[in-house]
Amino acid sequence: MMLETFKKEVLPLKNKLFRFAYSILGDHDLSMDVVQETMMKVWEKQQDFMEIRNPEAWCMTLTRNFAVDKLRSKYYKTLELEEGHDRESDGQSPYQKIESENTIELIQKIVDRLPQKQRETFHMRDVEGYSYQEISEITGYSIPDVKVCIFRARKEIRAKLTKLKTHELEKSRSAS
Amino acid sequence: MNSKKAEVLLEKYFNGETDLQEELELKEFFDSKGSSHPDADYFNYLRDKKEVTLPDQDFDEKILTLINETPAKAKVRSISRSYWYVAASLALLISVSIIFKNRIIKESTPQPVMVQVDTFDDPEKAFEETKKALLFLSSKLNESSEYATKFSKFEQSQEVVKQN
Repeated sequence: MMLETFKKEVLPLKNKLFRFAYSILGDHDLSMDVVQETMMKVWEKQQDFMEIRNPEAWCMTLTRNFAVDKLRSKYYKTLELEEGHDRESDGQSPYQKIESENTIELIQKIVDRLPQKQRETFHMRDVEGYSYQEISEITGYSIPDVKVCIFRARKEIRAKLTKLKTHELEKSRSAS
Repeated sequence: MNSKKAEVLLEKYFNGETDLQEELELKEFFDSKGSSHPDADYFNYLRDKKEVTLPDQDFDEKILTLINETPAKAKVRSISRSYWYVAASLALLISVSIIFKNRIIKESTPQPVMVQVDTFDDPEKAFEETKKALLFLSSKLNESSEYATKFSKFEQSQEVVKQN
């Protein structure tokens, strides 16, 4: 692959790859590392790149593999403990903890608490607009599995958001 | 899209029954509708997420610098494995050829047949000839036994000389 091809076809994927890595890791720095690792891997394997039918899906798969590796790594677990990432053990319910934040952030918190499989499939479908077939190719999950994960994620987000809003409404009523 | 159609699509969406086109229509509906609908926040979240960009502005520059420092790996084709395939194919081909060649030679070469052929037509004549051959053999045996007797006498006399 010539440098020009790399600049034209791979570099523009950086934001999409970053969002995808972030949907799995929930950490900016680690997600940036993953994008960098993906880019370097693509450059190293440029002979393969020329033969790949869907280069974008290939890059997404590489990103996913790097992100999942990081997720399983000791480093990430340590980071999670140090920063209290998504933890609910400080006596507060998730709703109490996040009620002061704006709704978009609240949804993000709900998404962060979804299982990894649901998070990544939901992100690919509802944020990036991939087909079930593409998601299946990128993740290696079967199409029915992908559909179920996305269905559950949507239901969960909507249900928790509704519950949270009801909770806020009741609180404001009792205050007045 | 009107609100009624949007409600139908929303129901389908949350049941996982919408296709990509319908999902796009829903997103466009909420983009134009504003935040009055209860599900507007959900779709605003999806829109916001799509707009997230990599925070590092110098990312491209960093990657291109790294690329310049890293030579691309040439695709390694397993030559040794290819050689094995060729060698195995040749061995198979040679074995099959040898087996076929042997079979063809075996089929084309007449095999020796053990046949008992009589040398005499008259049994009386055959008997006479056999008798003659056996007499000749016995006379030769007698001659050799005479020599053996002479030899034993010589040995006995030798023993006598040694003793004296």
